[in-house]
Amino acid sequence: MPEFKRLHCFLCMGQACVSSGAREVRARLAEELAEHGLSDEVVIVETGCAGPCVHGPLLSVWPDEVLYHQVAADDVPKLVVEHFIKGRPYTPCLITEPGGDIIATQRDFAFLQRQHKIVLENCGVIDPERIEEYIARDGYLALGNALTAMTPDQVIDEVKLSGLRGRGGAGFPTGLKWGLLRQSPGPQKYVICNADEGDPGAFMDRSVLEGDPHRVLEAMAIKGYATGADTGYIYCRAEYPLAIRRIEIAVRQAREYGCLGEGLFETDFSFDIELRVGAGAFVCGEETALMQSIEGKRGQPMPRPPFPTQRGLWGCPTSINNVETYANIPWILRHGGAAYAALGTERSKGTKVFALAGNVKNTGLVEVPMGTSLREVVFGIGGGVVDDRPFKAAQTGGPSGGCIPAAHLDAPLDYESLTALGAIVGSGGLIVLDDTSCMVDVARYYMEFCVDESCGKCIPCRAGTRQVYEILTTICEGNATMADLDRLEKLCLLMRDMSLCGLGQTAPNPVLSTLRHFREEYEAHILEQRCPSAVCRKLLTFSINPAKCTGCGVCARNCPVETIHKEDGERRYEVHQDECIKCGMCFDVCNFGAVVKE
Amino acid sequence: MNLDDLRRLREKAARELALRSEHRRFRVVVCMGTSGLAKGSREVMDALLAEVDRLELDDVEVVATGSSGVEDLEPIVTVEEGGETPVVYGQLDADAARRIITEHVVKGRKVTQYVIARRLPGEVS
Ligand SMILES: Cc1cc2nc3c(=O)[nH]c(=O)nc-3n(C[C@H](O)[C@H](O)[C@H](O)COP(=O)(O)O)c2cc1C
Repeated sequence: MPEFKRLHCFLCMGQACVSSGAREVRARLAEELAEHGLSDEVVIVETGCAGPCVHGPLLSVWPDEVLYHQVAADDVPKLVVEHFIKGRPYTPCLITEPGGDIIATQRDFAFLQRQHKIVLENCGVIDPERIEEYIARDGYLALGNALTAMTPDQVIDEVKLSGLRGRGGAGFPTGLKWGLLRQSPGPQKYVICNADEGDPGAFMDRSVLEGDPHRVLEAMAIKGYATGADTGYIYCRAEYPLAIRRIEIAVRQAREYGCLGEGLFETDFSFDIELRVGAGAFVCGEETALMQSIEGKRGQPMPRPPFPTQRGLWGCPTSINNVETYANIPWILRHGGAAYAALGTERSKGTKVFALAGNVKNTGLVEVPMGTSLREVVFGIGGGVVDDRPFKAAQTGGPSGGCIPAAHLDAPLDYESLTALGAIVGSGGLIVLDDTSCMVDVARYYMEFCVDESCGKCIPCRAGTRQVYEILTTICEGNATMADLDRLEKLCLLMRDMSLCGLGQTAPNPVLSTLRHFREEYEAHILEQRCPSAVCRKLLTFSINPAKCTGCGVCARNCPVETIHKEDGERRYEVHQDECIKCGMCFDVCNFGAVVKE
Repeated sequence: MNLDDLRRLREKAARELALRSEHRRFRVVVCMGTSGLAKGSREVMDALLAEVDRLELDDVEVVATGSSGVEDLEPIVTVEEGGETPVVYGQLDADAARRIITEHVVKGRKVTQYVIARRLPGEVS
């Protein structure tokens, strides 16, 4: 088979595209290429997540740079004839911008063009199951160069110079962390990659592992060399089967090519990596619990000190970094720490990947320099709020994070600014909320998550999450008093100060931050028994607008408690309030917008 | 593997992936409209691809386009090079296609026998 291919078709095989049918598209494409005798001149490359998930399945064609979205298997025959045979873009699958402009090439797609990719530079561009493609994009050069031309201290200095801070949540300076492990005495040391990714809104770590796994392996080996560790562990949750498979393939290939194993690059440095699969408990992402889990024990946090760099895995000095943190390292060594530090703000350097979700037009992964404004991410890249509804707030950092209200849309996204606003960068989950979201309900949702995920070891977290959750529920149901609000705040502060690990310490953040920016919503629930966003069902009344009711009766037939009736001889229906359970079924089924929810 | 081995591996792999970067020196455009296909542009395309492959050229892309509108002169191939005036070749067969690669693309000598036009970039042929 000839090596030269006329066209390269990149088919995104990230989880989102697979869920929307990428595998069927792949199968059909292979069939059609064979049918037209094009199999030798057109190659299909399965890539990891390309980013704009809402547009999946995504297919991009090089060298033409044409980007197709929402490709269905049935589009494929026509697409092959039009584009691959006749050389014209197949227009039904091109993206249309909100303004109506058709986007033909990747270059014109604002969602991709306004990003700055370092961590994701290879995602969607290479086949993650072929080490050759990573090598073609300068892969493992940073490792080879570090081992043969740099001392461990020089490597650490370069990382320090870059200003890189941990992307797992806390933002601890990475170079400093590496230095601590290097200084820690011991014949045996370990490095760990934290791929637990428990924040329910975030999926950048999964995407890096699915789309560019060698990047993380290379970075771990570099860290091993810089710190004196010969073994690395990747701790990945079992819910990420594709990431796990790609890590396994990558480790195998790296060993075959001599990028992992004994005497790397003809030096006396040896390094190898093992994979550990976790069951997917949020607390196992916390570093001390994670190490317990790797040791085969129950994943519960331990008091610090001793810190992992002093006594970590099996009592040996250990250092843990997040997937995204690692994914920056090869770039930093290839381009220099100074080039990295040139991006971002004074104290938050480089780029950050955000997982854009919620009520925003372009959901997906977005990598921007630290300090980019929230407005640019939500409106410039994200395309604005769905249905052009008003932007209410962005929730960042998931269950440990907080909300940024519309008044702060111009806030720069960096560690310091977000902390000042009561939110956090966290792992980079960014959920856009519009005026149909109730902030008390949002806080309650995250607290419910923490109730489930609290490991139960310390009382402030175990009992606190439950108590806070119950107070929030009484507020949502209109049964709370202002004294409950005080109690809520006190409990939150107590949990923050008294919990054993980050889970309990940060679990109150969504409550504290919504109290700070949206206190009037709490008060409306308590003082007026009213949910201003019409979300909390117990506080709603459902009624039927007689001017719009056509008398079709679909509401009455669907009402589970049969409390919608019409008087004999009348054409229109009415909701009898005493028996209404506020399930909202009538609202959902009415085709004429006649059911009023307020 | 040492660092030099890695560098060599990189060169080889990069050639394979060269198509995915934005700039290549030559762009060879084959008219693959209905009339072109009827007159053999498929064979011309095959020959071009095979020759590029055989010579391991990495600075060339071969792309398909629609009908030229000049059916009599099909199969038609245009060779574009940077800011140069594109050269249009017509009435080609597989052999002529191979010569376009070995002569024009590799040695920079136009295969005058088949040249039917030279047009400015952007001008419609
Ligand atoms: C409850 C809890 C969950 C956490 N989950 C994760 C996680 O899923 N992934 C992660 O990288 N860090 C997580 N962390 C942070 C880790 O404890 C640790 O700080 C981080 O992995 C260090 O890497 P970094 O310096 O590269 O950010 C979590 C912390 C807490 C308290």
